[in-house]
Amino acid sequence: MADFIPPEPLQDLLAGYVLGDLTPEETNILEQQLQQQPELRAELQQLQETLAAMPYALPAVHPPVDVRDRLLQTITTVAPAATALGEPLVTGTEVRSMASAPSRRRDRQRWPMIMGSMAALVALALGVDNWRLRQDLVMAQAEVNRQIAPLRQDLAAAKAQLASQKDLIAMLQQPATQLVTLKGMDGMAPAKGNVVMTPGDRAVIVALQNLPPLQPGQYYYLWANEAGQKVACGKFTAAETGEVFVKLILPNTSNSKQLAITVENSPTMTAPQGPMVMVSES
Amino acid sequence: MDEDINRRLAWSDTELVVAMRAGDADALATLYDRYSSLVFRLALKILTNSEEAADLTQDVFLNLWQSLAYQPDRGSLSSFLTTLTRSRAIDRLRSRSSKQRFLQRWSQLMPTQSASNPFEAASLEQRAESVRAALTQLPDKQRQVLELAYYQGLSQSEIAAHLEAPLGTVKSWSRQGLLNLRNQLQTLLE
Repeated sequence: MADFIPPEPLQDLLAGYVLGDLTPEETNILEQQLQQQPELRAELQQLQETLAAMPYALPAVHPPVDVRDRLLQTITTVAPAATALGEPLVTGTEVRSMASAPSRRRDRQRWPMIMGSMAALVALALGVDNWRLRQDLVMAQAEVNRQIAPLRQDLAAAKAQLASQKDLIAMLQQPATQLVTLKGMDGMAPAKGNVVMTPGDRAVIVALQNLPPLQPGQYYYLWANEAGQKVACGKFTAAETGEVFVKLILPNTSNSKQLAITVENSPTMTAPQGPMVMVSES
Repeated sequence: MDEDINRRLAWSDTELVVAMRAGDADALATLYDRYSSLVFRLALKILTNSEEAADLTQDVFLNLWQSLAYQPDRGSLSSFLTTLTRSRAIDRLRSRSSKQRFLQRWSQLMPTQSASNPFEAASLEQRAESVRAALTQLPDKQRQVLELAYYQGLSQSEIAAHLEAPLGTVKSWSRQGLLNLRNQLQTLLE
């Protein structure tokens, strides 16, 4: 291993660094020493390895067999973190410089690099008393958050979809639930779908396909024919794919199975004015 | 499938990681067989709940598969796994309600055997014996402080309060403890 043994006070600082208990003054001293004697890094790594080896001493227990099965099952659906065969694994210096240089690129390689430097930082110390580590961590976290924001939006949309699907399943499980089938009018012939309603329940689920997305400011309205009067049940828009999957709450419970969908230009319609695009069968 | 795993038993950790990142699922399975006990025993120690520990174990190996966080030039795979496991276990511990914590302390723990290869088990257990032996060589206070810091995630001030000892003394115990432990393990780490 190393040919020299660092003097005791320095060893003490190295140990403190790994344990995360250095004062700011101690941190300064150690960082200066690390710059002057880069060979100290090997010593540091050895102490990190020592601390991380403590769990070996715990009683030998094994996880249940199904953990292995589930893991191997899960990875068939999850892509591995990719480095091409023959490419050198990223060195420590590369990871550090990428962490401190903000970049606009959001490709897949960027994300793991940040996580790598964060993991390395976390691995260096036990506690959060080390102020220097906190600074690095804050910077790394800011970068991670920038990358997370668009993913969070996707997740929110997916969760809303899932909530509607669960509502649909619950409704379909009730015996009194009815399905009203809707068909597209001339010019909207490919449009089709159903409205799911339960007598006595103000919630209805609208599930449609092949409805074209609208211009901003335009809405699809669902109307129910109640004794000759058209009552607004709610409004919605179509996704890029032409699909609609929404839950609407009716102002009152309705028994009407005569439904229609129009296109309107205002968010506060009380009577249909725009063209009718879909209508319930018979 | 078994032949493929057998071939990989002789590979080093780094060779297995490289293969795994090229998409080799058997490489991950081999790493799992090699280190799942280490991850699980640590998770169980901190979480004191067998189901949560099993859940975390799966989590850790899935992370190994999905993320480039582990870099061989920064340290051993073994220390990466224990560091990640410890960090996540302490996070989970902190987000539990105090009522849950009380209930879990009294839950029965039933360790179970997995079908890992005895050759790999021996090598993990050989290291385990060395670490156990090294720890017994430490003065009691030094070992105690290290374990409180590592397994409970207590800060030095919290440990000082817990042991009713001055902060400076606690720091000295833990730093000396780590240095002594390293000296004891010198041959193992090389």
